[in-house]
Amino acid sequence: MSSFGQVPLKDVWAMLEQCAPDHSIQERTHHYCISYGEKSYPAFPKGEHEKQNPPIQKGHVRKMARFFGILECAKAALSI
Amino acid sequence: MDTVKSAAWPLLFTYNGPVFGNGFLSYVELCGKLLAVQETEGVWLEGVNPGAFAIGATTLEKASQTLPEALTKVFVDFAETTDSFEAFKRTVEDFYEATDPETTSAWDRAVEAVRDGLMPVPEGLLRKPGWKCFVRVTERSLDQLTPRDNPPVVFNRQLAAAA
Repeated sequence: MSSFGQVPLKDVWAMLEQCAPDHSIQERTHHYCISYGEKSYPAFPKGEHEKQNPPIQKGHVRKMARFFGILECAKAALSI
Repeated sequence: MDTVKSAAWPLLFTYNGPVFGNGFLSYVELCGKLLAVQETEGVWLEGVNPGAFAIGATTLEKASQTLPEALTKVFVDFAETTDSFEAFKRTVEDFYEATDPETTSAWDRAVEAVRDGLMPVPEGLLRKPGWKCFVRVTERSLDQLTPRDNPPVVFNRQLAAAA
């Protein structure tokens, strides 16, 4: 599965609801900072500006999911 | 000799640069670790230390050029959400140390494969045996600043192969 493929940001947020309950998302100037458990992923891309539901490269989603230990759940929820 | 196919390269990179915060000026220096995975569309860099970032680019050279700007943006986000140098320093150090066991295991295996000659070093990269990675965040005062503290316009040779 290519890391350069894309998924809509809304689908990523839905995946996190399912795979990382009680996570939180903080929007910053350049990135989203996602926190789950005791870990934070501060470099999640915001996608193209001025888009409500920008596409996000799958490699970023896969890396974030692996970092949080939810990769298998993420793969089942998203085509990544 | 057998070689490893479709595996990740273990790469090292350096970052040096000033970051302005709320009432402080810091200087961030680090040697980081990355796994580089070649795909059909390009190369994907996955952070090992720091572990919470990734970069995709069409070539390793372009990824190398993108890396400093990507990290600077993370550090600027940190600077905007911390109110002291001490808090900023702690945030950068936590970011550097945070990783995951799957990625660190893949990194260890990749380094062994390079050392054992099972994985070729990407063309154009130096082998760098005896490496030691670190993160260092220091506070600077105005009288310590020199023109050399300006960030370079072009970054080259950011990556080296760990061996």
